[in-house]
Amino acid sequence: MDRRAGIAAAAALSFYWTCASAAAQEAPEAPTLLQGGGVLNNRPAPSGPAPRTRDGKPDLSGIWNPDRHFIYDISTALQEGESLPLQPWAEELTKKRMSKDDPEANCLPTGVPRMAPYPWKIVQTPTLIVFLFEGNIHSYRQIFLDGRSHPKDLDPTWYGDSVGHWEGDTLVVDTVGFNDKFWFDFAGHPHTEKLHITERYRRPDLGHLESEVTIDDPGAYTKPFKMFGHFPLQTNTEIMEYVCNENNQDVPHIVGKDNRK
Amino acid sequence: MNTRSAVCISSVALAASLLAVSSHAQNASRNEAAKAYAPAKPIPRTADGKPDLTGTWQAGGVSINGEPGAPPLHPLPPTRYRPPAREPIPYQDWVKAKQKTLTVLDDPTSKCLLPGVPRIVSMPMPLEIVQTPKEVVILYESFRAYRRIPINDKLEHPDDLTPTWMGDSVGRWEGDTFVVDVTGFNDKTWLAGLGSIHTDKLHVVERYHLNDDDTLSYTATVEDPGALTKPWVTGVVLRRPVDVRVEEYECIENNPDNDHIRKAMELQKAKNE
Repeated sequence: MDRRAGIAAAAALSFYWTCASAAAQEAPEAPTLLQGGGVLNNRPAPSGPAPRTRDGKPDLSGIWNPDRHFIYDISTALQEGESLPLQPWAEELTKKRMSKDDPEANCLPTGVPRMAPYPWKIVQTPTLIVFLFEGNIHSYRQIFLDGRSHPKDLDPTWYGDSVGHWEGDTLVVDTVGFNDKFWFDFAGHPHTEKLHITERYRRPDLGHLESEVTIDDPGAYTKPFKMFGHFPLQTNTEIMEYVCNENNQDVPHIVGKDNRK
Repeated sequence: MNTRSAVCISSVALAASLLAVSSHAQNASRNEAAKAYAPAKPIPRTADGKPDLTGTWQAGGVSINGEPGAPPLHPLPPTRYRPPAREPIPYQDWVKAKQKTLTVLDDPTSKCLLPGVPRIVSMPMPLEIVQTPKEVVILYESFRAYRRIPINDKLEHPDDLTPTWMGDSVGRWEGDTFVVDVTGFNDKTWLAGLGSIHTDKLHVVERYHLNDDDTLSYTATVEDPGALTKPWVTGVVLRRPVDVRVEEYECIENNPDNDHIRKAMELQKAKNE
């Protein structure tokens, strides 16, 4: 089953083709079409030391490829040999969920830490870090580093409320205030409003960003668990405008359940 | 003068008339009214000396073409600065004819699509400016929209633009004014009020200027040889809502607006007949 309509995938492919060839002015390399739509360019990530900002922090800014483990099935993002500590009801619900009902397929936000198969960008200032997402919908996360704490009266939202701080060269992001609507992945893994996520980001070198994501949701999982993400730097490109809810043809064409890992 | 400051100032004037037992009291209250505005002070600057536009801003509850529009989502402090005088959009005849066929239901934003430029600036929800030396990013609460504005002193756009809702933006500093050139639009957004369509020849030049009372003057010069007879100038004065951050806005989840609008239009039609 092709989760994303051929139209969307083909359009994305042609966007990337023109963009990459115009910007790079070099022999265009065939981009790799991710299963399920979206494009990763397969230029090797550049090497070199991670840059630093004027205030001495690691500079995480750049355009990053998504990690497929945060797209299809988060059980693949666990450490070797571990499995998701799903509560029985959550396991049952995961099996029942059909792909056409995935909010992401209906142009709603992916939530956290889910990604869509499109590049994302980090914009960094000393007091605010912003994640800009090209797709599946155009959206963003704000991560406040100005010392504020979470507001006490949070409305549940798709991306929650994020505050961050630096621990050495690691950016630590604490997020609460989620709604229970988004799925963690195409597989349909659920969560509740009790969800609390801690993300730790580091840039070991110029071309790579890594994350360690701790999911703590006593409403749907029997214990907290950790996932690991790897994001290669994309060069010679920019994130583009993606509008999902204009004439979205996908949903009636989506049948069954996506079992890809 | 926009509606909200008019209300604010007239209440100060009312208080003044009640207290007007002597010219001394009048002068005192006049001084109070003057204090309502933030005092002139040096504008904040970034490490590289540019005006620091960083922060949360909001238009004052007037649409970009001067109609009252929706009230601002959050209360705003007063300002002594005013937007440019607004003329009606100088449309070509074919547009005027087409406008007669358009209703609110044709408004792309009622379908949760992006408002485009300059309309998005005057939405009642706040926006947040994130400024770095190489790029300015604007996050809009409305429709989860964002714009990237890379700084490019020649204001050069890529030569292979795909038409988009928010266009392609490049910016540069002209003295203390941040000038943004926007092109590469599709023809689907509206510029301002009902039926304010345009073509994909749309070209917008925006100017962001930080004022000495901690407000941000925004003007947009809108050119479209496909739909306008001459350039149209509009603008708003953006102010900082107090203790407000840009929050999450989800339009397409259970959007019942169009059904309500349709019903209201049918009722109105039945009433007229």
